Amino acid sequence: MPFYYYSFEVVNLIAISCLLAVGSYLPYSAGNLVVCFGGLMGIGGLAASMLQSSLGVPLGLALLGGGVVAALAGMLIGLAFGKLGGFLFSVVTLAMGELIRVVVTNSSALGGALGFKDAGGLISPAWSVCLLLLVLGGFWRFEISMARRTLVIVRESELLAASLGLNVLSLRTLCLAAGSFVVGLAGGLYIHTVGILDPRLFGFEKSVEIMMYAVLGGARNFGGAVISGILLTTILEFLRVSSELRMVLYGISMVIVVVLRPEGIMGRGRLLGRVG
Amino acid sequence: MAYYTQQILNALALGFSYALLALGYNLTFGVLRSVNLAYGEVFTVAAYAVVMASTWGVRMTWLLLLFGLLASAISGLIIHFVAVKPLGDVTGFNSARHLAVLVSTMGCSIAIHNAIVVFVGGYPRRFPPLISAGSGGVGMGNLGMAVTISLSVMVLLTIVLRKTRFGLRLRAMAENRELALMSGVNARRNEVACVILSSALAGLSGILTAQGLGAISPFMGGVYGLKALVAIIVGGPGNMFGAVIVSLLLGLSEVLAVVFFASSYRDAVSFGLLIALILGRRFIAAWRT
Repeated sequence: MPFYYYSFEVVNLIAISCLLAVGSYLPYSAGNLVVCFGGLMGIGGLAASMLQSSLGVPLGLALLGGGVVAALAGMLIGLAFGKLGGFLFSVVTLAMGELIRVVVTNSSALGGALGFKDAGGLISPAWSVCLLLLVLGGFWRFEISMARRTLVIVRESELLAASLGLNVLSLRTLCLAAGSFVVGLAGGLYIHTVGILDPRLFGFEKSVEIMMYAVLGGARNFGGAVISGILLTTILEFLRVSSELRMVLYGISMVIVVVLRPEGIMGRGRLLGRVG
Repeated sequence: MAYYTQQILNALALGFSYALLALGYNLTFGVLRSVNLAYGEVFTVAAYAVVMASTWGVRMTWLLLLFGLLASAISGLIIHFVAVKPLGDVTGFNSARHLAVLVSTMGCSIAIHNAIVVFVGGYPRRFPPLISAGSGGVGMGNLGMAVTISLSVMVLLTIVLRKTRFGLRLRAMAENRELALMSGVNARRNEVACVILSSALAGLSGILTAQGLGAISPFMGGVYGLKALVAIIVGGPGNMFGAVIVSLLLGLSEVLAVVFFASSYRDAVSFGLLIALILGRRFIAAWRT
């Protein structure tokens, strides 16, 4: 039953995309547009499968470990470049993503240009769906908390946040680390879905795709990010007929979306949560 | 000895082509106050235009150059009017518009290089030698020509920016846009002129780089553009001199990486250097205060 397996894989991919979407939404909702989540996802996936293959850590713990390693990497990036702020930070994260890809491509211990093959067997989509539900539950609780309101202040006005005694830089770094944790989890799941971690899979275009989940969803509501994760993955899956033409259409639609709806598809609407 | 002379010339040629790109980037960044990530694609489009023209049978060097520069100016203008202009004017350094421009020009970049893959082909193509003195495009003559052209264009650009009315208007817009507009500077016209000028710089850089490499691929512009962009962040946005110095350093480090390691380490070394320089600047700034 090939279609059965195919639909399993699509469910898996959609769940992973939703995880990536909420992961990149978190720093975006605090005012940071991060364009290196492809690389962080790769780091999470590599860490998870190395824990599993060389240390014999059980799957659940290995996934968690991948998330923690990605969170540490994200925190380092936030600490090192957070002060640049705004679009300069985004550009530097873009360069960091490229650096991660190039380093992984050149080191044979991490699989080199051919990809990391020692990834462990395929797992059932139940893992990604359960993890996604857990993360979404956490996000839902977070969305109605006071901490979330703090982040709204940080996003809307740095000046106001600073005058209220909030440490903008460390809050943003925290958001980046937490988002990277979720992205790292997704990376671990991804490596178990595709069976190999090719460095090309977490280069510039993957980072842009993950960034687009957040941009499409808007900075005000994590429901938007989830919806755009599902939509983008499904649309890209349907357009798989021609890969390059698909990317041309994808690029053009990025321009159209930003020009017509700069606040994302869920800009002012609200699906879940009350703060916005 | 000839080997080292060749490598120094290589480093200079590469550094100067980064410098041209970084100068053009700096110009748009200063005048339009936005980061155009599709700028690297202008570089690719110019190189492809030259290749296409030469396959159509054009042999005169100046005509090929003119064609490449024209293509880069047109593509730069299209990107400007499709992805940058509709998002409105800047309100402040930290405005949300910057991120919107970043995303829309990223979309443009993806669309352009994949369109080249679809319509021209994704495989690397041979770049025609523009002057026949060198053997096959990597000779000393070509590199020397690249360095000479880049240097003279830089001198010319400095004269234009420092000594002419047009340069004064551009610098006024970069310095204080509102004041410049109130003093009667025509924003629209000067923005368009600035886009044309910086696209031509990118196009020239693209043609010279392709000439040095001897081959082009649809994906070359993205990496070159990103490196030039990070170079101007390191050198200080708006600082022309810093951009040139960092670009030369970048060219030197890449050539050294190729000489001492392998060519696949090139990007790792240059990105690593740029990121180390950003961190170094930050630490120096923190240490001073």
